[in-house]
Amino acid sequence: MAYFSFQDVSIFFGTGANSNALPNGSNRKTIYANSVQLNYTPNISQQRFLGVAADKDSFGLAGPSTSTLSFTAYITGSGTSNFNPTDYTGDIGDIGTSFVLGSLTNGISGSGLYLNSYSFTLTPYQPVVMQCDFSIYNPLTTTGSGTGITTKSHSPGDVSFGEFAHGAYSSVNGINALQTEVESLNYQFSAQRLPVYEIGSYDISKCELVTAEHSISITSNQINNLVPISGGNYGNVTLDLKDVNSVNTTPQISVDGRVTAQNISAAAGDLARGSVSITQPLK
Amino acid sequence: MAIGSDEEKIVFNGKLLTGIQDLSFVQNVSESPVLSLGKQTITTQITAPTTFSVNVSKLLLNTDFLRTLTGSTTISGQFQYGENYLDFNSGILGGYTFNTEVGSIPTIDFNFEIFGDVSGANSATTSTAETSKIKEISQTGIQVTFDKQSTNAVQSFSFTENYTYETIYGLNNGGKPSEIELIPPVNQEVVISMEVDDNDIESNFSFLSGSKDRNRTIRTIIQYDDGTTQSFSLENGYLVGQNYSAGVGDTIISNLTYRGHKIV
Repeated sequence: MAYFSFQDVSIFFGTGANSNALPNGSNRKTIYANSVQLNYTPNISQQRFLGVAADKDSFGLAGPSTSTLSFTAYITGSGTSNFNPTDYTGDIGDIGTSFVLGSLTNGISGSGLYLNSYSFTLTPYQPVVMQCDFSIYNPLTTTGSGTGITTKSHSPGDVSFGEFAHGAYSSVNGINALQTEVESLNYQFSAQRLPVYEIGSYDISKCELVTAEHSISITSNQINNLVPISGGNYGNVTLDLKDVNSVNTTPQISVDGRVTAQNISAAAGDLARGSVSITQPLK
Repeated sequence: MAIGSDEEKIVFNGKLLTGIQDLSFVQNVSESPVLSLGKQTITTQITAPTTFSVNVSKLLLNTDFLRTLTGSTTISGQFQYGENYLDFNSGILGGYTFNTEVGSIPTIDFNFEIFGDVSGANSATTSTAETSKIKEISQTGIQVTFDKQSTNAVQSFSFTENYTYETIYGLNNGGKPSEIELIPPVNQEVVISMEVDDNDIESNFSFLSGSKDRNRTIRTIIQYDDGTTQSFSLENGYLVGQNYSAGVGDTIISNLTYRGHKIV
């Protein structure tokens, strides 16, 4: 079988954080990804017995498989068919989401996906690219042979110049975090989850969201008011990722927390810069 | 219908320039296709600021106005051609090159980078003419001082000064830079072309020595017939390149390249 070119490998997601229904032609979230990584490691180990020589049949299932799906993608608008990571930050009770890689009908598919982290960097003259990392808690296959990408993909719909979140049009505001000139900022969301499996089932029973937080780091021309060691320095930043039409491409992001770090860097032949980090616990 | 050179003028900071030989305006847009998995083609996106440069080639006047704009980040101007007017602002002088050679009038070429608006205008901006003129220079009026024997006849001398700016583009600023900073040092370079009469190529390994001359006097002075002068000189000049070329039916020509760095 020949290699597939990138133009033949699509990624589609399910429409919410609480459904195992696989994406299909009319019910899906489109991802305009520029890279994707699927890691799949079945959790098998050797079982050794006294008096028996180990061989290939000594391997046995030792726990849930470890699978992750990571991708980088452009943020391309707030429409209902566009992928937005905030749709997948679900709490306990949600059964996760689903995905298809390669083709809606003949690709690799999976369910029980939970968002572990997403992040992006915003700079004045670049479209916004996010990094998303999902854990896959349901097995990709429970049969003797796995699925694979066997035919070329269904292509995502077209996306226009005006739908991309872009640093030239986005805006940032805040308290105790911003200086006069924000050169760049980095946003990060992270969550720790605890999957629960029941005896008698391969699939996840439920998934507890243990902790979650998000933070923002801003690079600018200076820093003000060094953070006190007591952790009492308040910081609040609101971020609007906008397209060329000044339309928000995601819900407004608000980090309302404490200033946790401040840095100044300078290098010969360059300007001195400062950075401020604010973190808000979410759970 | 075309516009003749007699209908073309350029104004910088309210000064109508004289002695212009060539003008060029260059705009570059950084727009690239966005590749996406699952798609053959997709739209394009802007990926860097649009750049706009103005290049001015002049005959050297006795006191050139444009050299006084060094370090300014608020240079504005207008290009007037026929009944058309092009305004620009928030410019910087990126560098200039002075050149003199046997048998020609000294020239100076300027490069400006424009970070502000570039747009058409309805009328000519108010300006006053650059007052300095090209004055008479005697045959001995241009003198080059360098670290070689005077019997090596200098054929040409070029002096370049380049300025490095860091441009900060902040969010919330409509795509315009929020700050432009001149980053020292100013880099200077001189290239001298000479007929070789009495000169040795400096040893490869001599440059490793701490006693190597890294404070060479490299300059040219132009003395006009009315006694006024102007000069171009390196700061702490050091040699970075030397080449000799010899061919049948020709003399030996050497090109020497020196550099210096000026604190601002």
